[in-house]
Amino acid sequence: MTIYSTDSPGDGDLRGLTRLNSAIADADSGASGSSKPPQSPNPGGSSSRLDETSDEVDSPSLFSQAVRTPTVAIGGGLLLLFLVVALIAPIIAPYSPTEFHTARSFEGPSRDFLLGTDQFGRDTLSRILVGTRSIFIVSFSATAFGVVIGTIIGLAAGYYGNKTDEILMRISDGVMSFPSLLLALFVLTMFGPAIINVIIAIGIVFIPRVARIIRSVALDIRTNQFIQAAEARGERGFYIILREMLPNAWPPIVVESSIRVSYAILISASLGFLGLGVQEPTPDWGLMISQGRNVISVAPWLTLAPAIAISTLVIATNIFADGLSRLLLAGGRVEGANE
Amino acid sequence: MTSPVLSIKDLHLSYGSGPNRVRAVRGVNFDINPGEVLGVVGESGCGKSTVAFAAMGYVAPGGQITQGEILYQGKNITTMRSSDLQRLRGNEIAMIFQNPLTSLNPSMTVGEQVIEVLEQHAGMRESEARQRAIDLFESVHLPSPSEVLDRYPHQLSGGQQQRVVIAMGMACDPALLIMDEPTTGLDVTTEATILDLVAELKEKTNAAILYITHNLGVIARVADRVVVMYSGEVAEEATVTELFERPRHPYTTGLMGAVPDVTRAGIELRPIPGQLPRPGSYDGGCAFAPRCSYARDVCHDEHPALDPVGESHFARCFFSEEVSLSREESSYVPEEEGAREDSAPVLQIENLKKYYEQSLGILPWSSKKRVVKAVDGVSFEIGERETLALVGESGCGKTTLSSAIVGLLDDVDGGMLLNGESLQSSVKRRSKDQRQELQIVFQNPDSSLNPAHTIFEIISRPLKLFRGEEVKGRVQEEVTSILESVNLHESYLWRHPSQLSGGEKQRVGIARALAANPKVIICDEPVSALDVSVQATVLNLLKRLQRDHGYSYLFISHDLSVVRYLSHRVVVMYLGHVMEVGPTNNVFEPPYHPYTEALTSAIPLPNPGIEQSQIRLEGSVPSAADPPSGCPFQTRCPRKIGSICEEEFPPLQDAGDGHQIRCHIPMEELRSVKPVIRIRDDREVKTRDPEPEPQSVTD
Repeated sequence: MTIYSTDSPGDGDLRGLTRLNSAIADADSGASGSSKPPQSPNPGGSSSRLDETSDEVDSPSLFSQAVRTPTVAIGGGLLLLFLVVALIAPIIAPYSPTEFHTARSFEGPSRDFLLGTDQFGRDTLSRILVGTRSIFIVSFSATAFGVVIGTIIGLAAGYYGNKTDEILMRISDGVMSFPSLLLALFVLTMFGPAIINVIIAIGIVFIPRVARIIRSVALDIRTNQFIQAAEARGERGFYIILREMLPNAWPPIVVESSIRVSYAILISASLGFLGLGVQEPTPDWGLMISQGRNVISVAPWLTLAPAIAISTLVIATNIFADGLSRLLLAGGRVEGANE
Repeated sequence: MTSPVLSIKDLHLSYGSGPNRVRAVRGVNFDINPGEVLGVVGESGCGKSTVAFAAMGYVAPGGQITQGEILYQGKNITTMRSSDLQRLRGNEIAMIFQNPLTSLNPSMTVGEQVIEVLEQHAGMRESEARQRAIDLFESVHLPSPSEVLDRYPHQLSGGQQQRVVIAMGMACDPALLIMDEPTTGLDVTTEATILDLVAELKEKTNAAILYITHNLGVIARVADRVVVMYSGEVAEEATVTELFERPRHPYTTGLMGAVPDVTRAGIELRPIPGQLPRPGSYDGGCAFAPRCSYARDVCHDEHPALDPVGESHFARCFFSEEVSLSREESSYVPEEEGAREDSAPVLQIENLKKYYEQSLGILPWSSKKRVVKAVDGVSFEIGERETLALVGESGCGKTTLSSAIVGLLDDVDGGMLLNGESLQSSVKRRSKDQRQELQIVFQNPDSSLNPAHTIFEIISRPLKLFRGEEVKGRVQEEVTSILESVNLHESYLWRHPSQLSGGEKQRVGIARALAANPKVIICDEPVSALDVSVQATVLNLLKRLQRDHGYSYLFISHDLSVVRYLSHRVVVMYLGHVMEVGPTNNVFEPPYHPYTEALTSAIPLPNPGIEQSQIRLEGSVPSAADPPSGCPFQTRCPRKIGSICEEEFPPLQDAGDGHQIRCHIPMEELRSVKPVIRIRDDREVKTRDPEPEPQSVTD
């Protein structure tokens, strides 16, 4: 919209500006021929007037739109690359990640060991490659766990409102008042360090955060008359939440999930660093940094390699999430409540 | 002859480029002279707003003027430098939009905003500007202007806000005033006063006014000349009387035949077939040909020119000679039989009350509360095959009432009986049969149809829920036949609502209600979000379904013309009370309740040959949280008779024939009131059956 600011009348003429803004909005909707949901139940306003034109413009599929959005393409491409690496790591890894080459410990990058070796002479490159697996398993499972439960809680709070909302949200506030890492540590010290417990710990950290976002989306969806129509039919709460509301909440859920994944990567790496994540001898990026830290002056590659791996993965996820949110939330594709 | 203030010459405007280019405006020509109101009428997507914005020198993002010029007092706006344009806007050209709230800054008082304009554009000093602002507010008839000056926009009613915006527009004595649907969001009584103001401004200021609307009735009231637009082109141009008496374009006659008119009760509406073209879709022939009953081969192949068909009358049609008012052709449909006298009422509402409590304190446990009486003791009943209309302006409680009947509200006082059986207030405590028999059609199908579901899912859900046993194994056939009954083809089954046009969506909304096989359907403003040419389709559909299946309708509407067309009986509501109830024909004739009289007088009639009393209501509807004492209407009543109106709640007086009026004025006096709507040559409009009116109230 800023392109048109040169066209606005009179500096400081607020009236003109607001008029033009609304004009832009109106003219926009008229030009693109898409009917935007009315903002107010005016009796027959032209902005609330339904577009009576047949709306069968062949809009490109979501996939082809996604591929053409640079951020989604780049971020998604990188993520895909990491995923492929995770799947075929044992095949492409030059050595077994747990194989000791005791004679060649703390060796710098060479033709035999491209990223050098650690104190036991294990190949850093192989450990990084195979380490992709655990980071993927942990961050994706934890996100799925947190998003599924968080979404259900958020939709229920938004739909039922009143006391249900109050109780669910105050509990969420309580859980959120702990710093995420501290909360995860707390859970892990209770249940002990194991990959499943790391997933649960990160999931618990995510639940209230996801619930808050989805609740606000649900409050918006709830104002639609199709909810009233369902209630008037006598539908039960869970039907309305799962069949009427959930299908309209997927764009923010997808975006929220992609953001959560990058947080999950960071938390799981941090937990690994603190020794509470995946245990030796399984390769884990966080754990590798932690072990390399003591010898950083002698063998900096031991810290640098996993650090770079973590940041690349996080940046890729972030770019992807950013592109997704532009594609799904800001664009005209999302029908319903989330424009 | 005076030179025109604005002259648009062969304007072409497109959006986008390449294969996706939308030719939104194609070759529009018109002039506006000083002191003239030019009405531009058309439905959504016809390019009327695009032309209006172009007249201000503004083209929406992605758009460009590809041909033609816009001359403002001889100067071409399209080639003007943006700094010159800025000076023009505000100083000489002012624009007024539909929603006044988007034109007003909520964080400044309206006075500050007007004064700012005056200082900026007219170079006035503050004291001078303040005095001028007060004068301006007076000229737009804002009550106590010096007080209004210090109010914020949200403290004013919708009509007052629009007056402020008009005052701002008039601040620098513009030569050209562009009004884009300025009354569309307003109540009918407020709309009438704003339209009066527009007429007055025209007289006083000699400004040229470009008035854009979709409403033929509004055009008939304000415009001197009319431009009818269709699909980015001018279809017809004529003076207002000429246009309404001798329309020469099939689209114009089509619109006139599709719009309900209170003076033509009982005449079948004739919707324009087909649907509006997408903006800018254009294939060489006449844009209207696919929907035109006069169309022949030549219409599809060649593009007609805008030819003169009379004195300053132009029509873009090859067969303009043949076009005649469809109202003459359309058949007079005898009034259908209303409710069976002897049948028991299907739905009875007895003394229904819904109060909301609002907490006034900041703390949640504060005991300071006030009660909002949204619906305060409403009673009526609906018979079999009957359409009962519920009429009232915004805030009268009609939507609360419909929600209460459907069971979406808790804590409703009073009785509701469906088929003689009591209805619980919450839908959760109603029986499955009761939920089945009572269905609702919502106002806005964009909101009432789940965008994530297919049409099949939307219609099959109530079908499976209420008639699961009956339709087992043949759900899809049943859904198809329901779709066909609302004139939608089977191919719509797997579409999503976003792939349907507005009228089609609303028909799906109706189909969903039909799927349950109900007895009573509550229609909450079902056509107010639709374009006029499609509105008629939905209204006729509702009529036909009633005839075929015997549904009873509770039809909630603010549009009296639609009510007159569709309903058998009318309930007029004001501030949560029933003010008048009676058979439709009786309600539109004296005796009237003074409020009904004012409502009737405010209807914009698409017929300049008809005389209408000018009864205008002062102020706005009082808050339901603080209703007036005595009669709820006493604060605005033009026929208030004295202190009794302020002290006592008026009784329902019987006017015979099931017609009741809640008023203190004696019935004899109410009877002697002149009818609001009269044909100009003083022939009484024949608006009711020729049966003799009952002479006196019989016991």
